[in-house]
Amino acid sequence: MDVCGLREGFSLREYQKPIVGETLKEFEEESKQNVFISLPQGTGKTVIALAALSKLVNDSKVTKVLVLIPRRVLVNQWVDKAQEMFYGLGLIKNPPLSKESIEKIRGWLKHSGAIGIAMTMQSFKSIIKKEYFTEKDFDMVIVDEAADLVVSRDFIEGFRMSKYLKGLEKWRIPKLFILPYHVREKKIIALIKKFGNNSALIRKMITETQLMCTVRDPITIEDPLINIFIEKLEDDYKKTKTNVHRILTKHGIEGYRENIETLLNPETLDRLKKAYGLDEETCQQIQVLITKYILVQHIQKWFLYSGRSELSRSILSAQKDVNKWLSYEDKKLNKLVEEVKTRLAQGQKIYIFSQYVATAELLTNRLTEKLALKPRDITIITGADEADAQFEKLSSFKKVGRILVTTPVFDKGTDIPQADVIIVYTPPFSTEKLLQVVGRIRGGEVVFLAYKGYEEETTNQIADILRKTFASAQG
Amino acid sequence: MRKLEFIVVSDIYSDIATIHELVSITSQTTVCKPIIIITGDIGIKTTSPHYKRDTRQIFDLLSKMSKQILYLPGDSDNKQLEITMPTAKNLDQQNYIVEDGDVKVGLLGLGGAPTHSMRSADLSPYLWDESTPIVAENLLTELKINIEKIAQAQPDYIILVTHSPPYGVADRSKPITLHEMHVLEDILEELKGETKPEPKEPAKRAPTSVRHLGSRTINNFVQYYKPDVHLFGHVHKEGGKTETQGATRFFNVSHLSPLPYRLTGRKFLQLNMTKENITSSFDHVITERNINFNDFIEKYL
Repeated sequence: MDVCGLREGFSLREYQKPIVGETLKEFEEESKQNVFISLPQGTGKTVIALAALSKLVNDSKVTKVLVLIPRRVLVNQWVDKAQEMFYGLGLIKNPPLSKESIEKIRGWLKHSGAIGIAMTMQSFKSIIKKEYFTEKDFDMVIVDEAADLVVSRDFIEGFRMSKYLKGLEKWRIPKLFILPYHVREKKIIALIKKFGNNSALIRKMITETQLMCTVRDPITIEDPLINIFIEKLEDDYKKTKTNVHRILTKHGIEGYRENIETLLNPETLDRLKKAYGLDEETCQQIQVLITKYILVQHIQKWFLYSGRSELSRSILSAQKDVNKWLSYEDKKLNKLVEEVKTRLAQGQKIYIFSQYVATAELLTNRLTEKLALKPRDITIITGADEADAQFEKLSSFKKVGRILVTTPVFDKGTDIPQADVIIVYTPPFSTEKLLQVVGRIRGGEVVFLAYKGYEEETTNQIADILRKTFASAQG
Repeated sequence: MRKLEFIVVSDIYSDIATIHELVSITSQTTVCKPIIIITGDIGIKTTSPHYKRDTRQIFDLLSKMSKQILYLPGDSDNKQLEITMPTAKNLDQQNYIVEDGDVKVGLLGLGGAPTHSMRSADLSPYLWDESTPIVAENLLTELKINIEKIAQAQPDYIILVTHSPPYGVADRSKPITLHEMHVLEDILEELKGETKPEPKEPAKRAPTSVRHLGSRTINNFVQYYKPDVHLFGHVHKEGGKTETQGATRFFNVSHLSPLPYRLTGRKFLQLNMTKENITSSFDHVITERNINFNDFIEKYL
């Protein structure tokens, strides 16, 4: 009799079954040590991993598994999902890791019937360093949201391994890595390289229509003054960026064009000094230009995304046009209230995304005040919440909530309840991140708010990219 | 109706040019001469020969547009900063009553700043370590003595003037550094991540993450004695923030100098008190408000 499996009432979706089969084939028949699964948001990657694990446990190929997840709140979700859908897949979550407790944990693992431990990647770093556990304690590792294994592209060193997972590449036991589809291919290749040739990649774009979002034309807001501010700031932003590029070109530096902010990192500058012989003055010049570039971006965002309190405290509030602009009500915020009101009247469940905590708080307060919402109607979850609180709030939203306001705290791996619409108030910095965010609602509409003019143009471009991505997925 | 008008500034850092502009602006906007309150950091580099000259010049300029100057030294000033001028009064660990017909206001002050709010003490000669119980006790005792003396005069309002914010109010920032008077230092610092250890003191690295930089001693005092108004500066990035807690209105008036951050500098507070109420508004020392946005950015940012 199987020791674990899907509970009654649960089944795998049609497209999930062959992926589970393929995964098992790679491990069992092809004897691959590392299998990477890359699927779109909302396709149930975790469930696929659990189903594969379940089969390996039943075949007695795995008795103890180590599950690594980026954040504490996700560990809780992961373990709860395993228990909710599968019998016999009990995991010890976030055990207290100290010298004294380690023997106790070994005891639990042996006698409690748990098939393994789930912990954060940060905890993994600590246990490896202190040698509390080694690969001998486990016979499989599952890494969820494995895109975090390589953190960023470094021009000199190439993609770097996350410091939290260093050492994992040396473990010879089977490892299953789960990552979103929209991670760039270059990054996935770099990731696989870190783990050697004995690896397989299963990468699929699932075409289920229930996962497709309808991207609406942006809701526009008339405000001629905003264009005066944004055009000037955009102009300064471009000029500053060009100046940095010129310096880089002059010194024959090829990389860093996409992410010039990384040049502010003293370690990066030190490396450039050595590799390209940059002098102190040039480094300072680069730093001043980039800080200006970032400042201009900040101010732009305050104007576009309701950062009125910051603007009011700044010298800009003394300029006649800004002063006039600040004297009237926030038109974008009012438009959001209008949109939410209409959708609530239609009984829709709404998910509002903001890139910043302060904006998320502002939106929540304004919506609560203007629509006379009860606390249970609107839930705000940001990085300012403790991990456990995030989890509790999400559970409460699942049960009774009507509006969920979040920041990128939920951009990866979190199982967010389905919503009818996602209103993107402040878009994330990259399309990849935006796809992660909108993918979370698993269907429904995507709505942007944009000031008529410059912002409308850029938002239309983003909307088009989203539409094309969804269209290509549908074939 | 008679009223007391105050202009409150903080963190001047010897910037004479901005003081000139402030004098010019406020002379045009105020009906009668206001009382100036300076909540510290009047000068910088106390050991330089310019320090005394600069602070004197600041007071000379301000005295032309005011009927009185109430001040206290901040962490960047000499603790013994004394301005010999009939209209200037040092409020550090002192009290004072101002009266204008109908309305009577009592003021008390505390200069300097807690050591934990600074990343380095090099340019901050006036710091106190409130984690030492005797230090905290002495500061609290001074404040208590002064507020009790004021209370005897039965003023309509009590204003607490300190350089440091109270813990937990408009005080969240990274520990302050005056080494790097960089226009955009805040953003630069945020992106730098961990700061490299100071070469001179490799053993102990000062914390650099965002935290409450205010004083617990001042907070304890405010919680108990509940002054009507609390004016302070020091934490630049929180400048311009106001808050009301119970009976007390808090104002972080930082910072008048365009440094360290051009974007949030040039700030001053106008505070008017009548027997009936208190009104307040922040403004900026900007002389050319009517130029277009593009020119404004070029000129001031």
